[in-house]
Amino acid sequence: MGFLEDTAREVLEFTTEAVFSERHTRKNGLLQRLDPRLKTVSLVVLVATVVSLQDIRIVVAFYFLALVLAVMSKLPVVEFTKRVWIFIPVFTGIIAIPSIFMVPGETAFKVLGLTATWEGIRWAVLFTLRVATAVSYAILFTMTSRWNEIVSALASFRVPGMVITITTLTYRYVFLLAKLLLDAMHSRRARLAGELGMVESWKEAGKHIGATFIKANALGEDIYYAMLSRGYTNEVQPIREFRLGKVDYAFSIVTALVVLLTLAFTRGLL
Amino acid sequence: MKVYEIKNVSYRYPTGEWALRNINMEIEKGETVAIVGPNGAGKTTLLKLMDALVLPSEGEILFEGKPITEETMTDPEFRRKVGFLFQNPDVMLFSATVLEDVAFGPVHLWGKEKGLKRAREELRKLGIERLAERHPYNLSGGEKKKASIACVTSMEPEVLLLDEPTRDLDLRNRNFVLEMIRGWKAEKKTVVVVTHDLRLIRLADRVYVLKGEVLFEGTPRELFSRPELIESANLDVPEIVKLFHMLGLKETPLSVEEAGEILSGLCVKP
Ligand SMILES: Nc1ncnc2c1ncn2[C@@H]1O[C@H](COP(=O)(O)OP(=O)(O)OP(=O)(O)O)[C@@H](O)[C@H]1O
Ligand SMILES: [Mg+2]
Repeated sequence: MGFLEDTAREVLEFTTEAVFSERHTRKNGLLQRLDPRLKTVSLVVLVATVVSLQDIRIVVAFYFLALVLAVMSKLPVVEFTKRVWIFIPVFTGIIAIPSIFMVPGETAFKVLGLTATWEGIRWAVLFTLRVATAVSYAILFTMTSRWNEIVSALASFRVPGMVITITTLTYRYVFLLAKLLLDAMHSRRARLAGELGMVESWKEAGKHIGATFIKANALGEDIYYAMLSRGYTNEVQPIREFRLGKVDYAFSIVTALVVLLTLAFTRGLL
Repeated sequence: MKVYEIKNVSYRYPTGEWALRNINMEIEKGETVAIVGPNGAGKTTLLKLMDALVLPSEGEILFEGKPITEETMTDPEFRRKVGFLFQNPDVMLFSATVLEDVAFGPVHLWGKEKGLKRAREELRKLGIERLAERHPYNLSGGEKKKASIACVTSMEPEVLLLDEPTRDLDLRNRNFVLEMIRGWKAEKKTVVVVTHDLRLIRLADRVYVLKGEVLFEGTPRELFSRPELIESANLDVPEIVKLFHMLGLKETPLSVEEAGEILSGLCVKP
């Protein structure tokens, strides 16, 4: 139990701190310098390409491209990699592992009366790599973008003010919820004298989460009032003027080339 | 000139609960008014009404002679003039850095450049420039409070609505807030403060006791000479007042210094 709880707390601490402190967004790296609108579009294009890939070698190439981008954006590669792979076991466990045994093909080995196939293994590896690569791009994006810029980018795509307000409120709400949850976990640790049994400690945790949600719900309303009180009017204040520079042009040309070449190659046109 | 005229105001929450009934109040420009009452008395609700975050279910509120309406909610002039310090600083602090949070209001009012400049000035004034680039996530309670105060004062309000500004603060930070309110009083700003803090109440020109309705209106001295009111407001009677009552003295000293003066006056007399 202690292990599970500690891990949960660590992951929560680590992700909230990293996401909300926007620590890496202030570095002067490649992706940080990109126009947020362009970055959003490129991300969508890259992820869509990765998800459509069937060739493991090309997926690996895209994975390394993500690492190169991370380095060029001055992100700590170890932290970046950790953050990507922390999510992978869940996906792998749920989808990839069963498929090893379910995809028909040549037998690789037998275990507990189940037959694993080479085809299944290939598919599981491809799937896992694809997820990891797509997640890498998503995390590259979040680690290098400021919330304000994302909101401004949304506004420039003519997303209605109400949608942006709701998104902003959600962001703030999640922030608060994570904080309350961590506070609850910390205070619980402080108060916990002896070790509780598995069932009791989960019951305790359940109570805490319940109380946290109630508290967060009451505060949620105040979050909106606090914004309104300080002059918020459902309109986004452009925090920075968007202007495309040399980096933007260079990045879009390279991205477009990479994607087009990949598509041409996989479709057998090259 | 009257800043607020609250006329027969009642407020019912969407849940059907009447939080306030038939409230009448007047607040003059430059006055410091304390509002006291037990938990659930409707104090916070009253401040929300005064900040045009919610509108009365019945009755009306005039601000500088003009009724508060739906339009007031998003009127930048009103938002600049009136600042609301929320009880919980967590609902006010969300940006990546303290500076951005403090600039949130000013940027909405005056645009980016002036807003950021104003925010920096305010941080300097409060002696928390060193927090400018920090993430609000990791601040201490007192630091958060100061940051949230800067969020309000950076808008240069003429009217300050403060919800329990000294709660959860240690003595040094309580003194800090107290000094700040003294400063505003000297600058002839209008201050409405909800509080249980005796030292804050003493600072007020007038006190209202609230419990769904107005139970009392008068000076702090009048309030402390009426134990039954103090009890209904769930306030602590200052020890020195208790002592004077015990001794059968008619005076109600508001501080130890004052009590000393009264007593030495008594002793000098033959
Ligand atoms: N969002 C809400 N929805 C429904 N009822 C509410 C809401 N907020 C407050 N109330 C109710 O309205 C009444 C007044 O609440 P309010 O928060 O104004 O009291 P308060 O005097 O500020 O109390 P405290 O000293 O605890 O801060 C309470 O009975 C409370 O339960
Ligand atoms: Mg309250």
